[in-house]
Amino acid sequence: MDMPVDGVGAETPLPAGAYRPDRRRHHGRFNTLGFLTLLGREIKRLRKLAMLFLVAPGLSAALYFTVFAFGLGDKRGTPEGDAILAFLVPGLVTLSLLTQSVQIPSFSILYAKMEGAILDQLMAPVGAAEMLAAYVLSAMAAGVASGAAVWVGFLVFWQAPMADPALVLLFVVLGSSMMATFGVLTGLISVKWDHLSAAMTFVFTPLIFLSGLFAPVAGMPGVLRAIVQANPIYYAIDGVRIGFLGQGQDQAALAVLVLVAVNVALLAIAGTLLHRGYRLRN
Amino acid sequence: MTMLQQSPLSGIAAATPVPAPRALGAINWVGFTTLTKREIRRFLKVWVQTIAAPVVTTLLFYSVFALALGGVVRMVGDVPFLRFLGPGLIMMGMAQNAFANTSSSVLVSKVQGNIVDVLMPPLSPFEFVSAFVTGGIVRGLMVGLVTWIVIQLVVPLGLHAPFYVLFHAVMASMLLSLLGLIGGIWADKFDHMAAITNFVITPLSFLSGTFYTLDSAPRFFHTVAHVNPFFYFIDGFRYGFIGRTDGTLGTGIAVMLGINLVLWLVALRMVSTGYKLKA
Repeated sequence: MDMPVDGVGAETPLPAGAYRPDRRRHHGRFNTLGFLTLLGREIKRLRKLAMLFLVAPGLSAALYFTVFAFGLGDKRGTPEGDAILAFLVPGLVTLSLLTQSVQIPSFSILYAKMEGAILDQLMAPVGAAEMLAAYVLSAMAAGVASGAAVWVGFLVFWQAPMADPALVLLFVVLGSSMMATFGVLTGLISVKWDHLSAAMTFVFTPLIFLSGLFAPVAGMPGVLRAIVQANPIYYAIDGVRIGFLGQGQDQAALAVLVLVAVNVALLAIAGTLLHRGYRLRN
Repeated sequence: MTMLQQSPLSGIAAATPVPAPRALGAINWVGFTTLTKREIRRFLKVWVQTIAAPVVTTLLFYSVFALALGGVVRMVGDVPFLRFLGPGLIMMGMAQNAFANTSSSVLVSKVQGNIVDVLMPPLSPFEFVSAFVTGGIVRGLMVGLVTWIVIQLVVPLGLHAPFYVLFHAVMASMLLSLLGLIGGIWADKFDHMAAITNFVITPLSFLSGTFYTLDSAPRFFHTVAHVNPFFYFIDGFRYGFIGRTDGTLGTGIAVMLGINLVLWLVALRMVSTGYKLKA
């Protein structure tokens, strides 16, 4: 005796949306469908924001570049080539990568909270792991797209090839996932827009700026150098630069170690908060 | 008989005198000061975002640029680079915040629908524009003053000609407040405003000779700077501090007065016709 399928053979067809034990969806420990759906939605959001995270960072990178190139005046060139280009371009690419990685998920989560749309994903069988993975991966995609746009723009000025593409990729992934997780945490903790803009102005912008982005850490006075070296973002920027220029690989191992540790810690915190529904379910 | 023919209301009217319409005079001072106060309190209430945040950002720029560009004790002419950079950054902060104040005020009111609160009262276009612009100027000057005090503690900037400092501060804040007002009236959503800020205001303020003296920039950027009003007010403002100028002060003052006049006329025209305000 077969079970009735799709209401065929049943005496009265069930109304749409009725509970059907035979059609109950099962998923293992990780709801892949839920994860992919959420990831898809985040990517669709990004497509609408392309202007914001591709064009605007490109323009601001060009402005920083102009300002630095002329600001340095006759100190610009060195016998080995145009030192300022070699130093600045990887830094500005990473600046864009990191800024967008942190902004995109914090904005998305806070917006969903403010509009009440967060309910849609809290009701769905999507757990902390799926949510975290979807937000972090989509933010990394935004960051990488933005960094790549800036880099392609700079190819006009500076055609030097990447010395070690694998190393660049490694640090791009580690750096953007770190910032994306920071972004998820910021979105969770924030309750109103003021909190988000305060986090950007008073925490992330200073962290990103005081990271050896614009000036080599070697030339800094002692106290400042210690501050910069305590900043995890410094290791991401430094790592990308090592990959681009192929100099100073001896520091790459330390940078990888620091970034992996920070990533693990942040992911654990964000996962726990998402699991507990911190400032989501109240 | 005569009693019956009178309307029943006339008795009441006789008992309670009809209030005379309020005489406003040539300028509605109460309306103007009320709107001005609103504009100032609006940003003071969120001072962390409107005063503290821009000051922190400016100081961050200052320290980063000082580190990157002034590593060795660099001179611009006979002035140390740090003294050269300070006034430009203060002016950048003032200009961007004067713009942000009027543009966000008008746009938020339009989007939320409470713009009627300022359109209904008996305010002439002149009072309307003046009140908004005063709010923007006050915010610009406050941001500039706080930034100046903090920078002054670390790097004494000197004060060569206080009048030039004040004049350029007020003129630049006014110009950007007017631009913000016009932009806020024109914009329909926040994306438009973000686009103006990202693609017009920020590039103008960066390519203005804030960070470099024109002597060190290629020919093309001289031309860019000379058609950029930001160049003139940063140059004049800086002259007030260090007594050194890239351009000609007289031309700068004339350019600023001219642009301000044109923007005033545009803003007044927009408000009096109700362009995108009374639609």
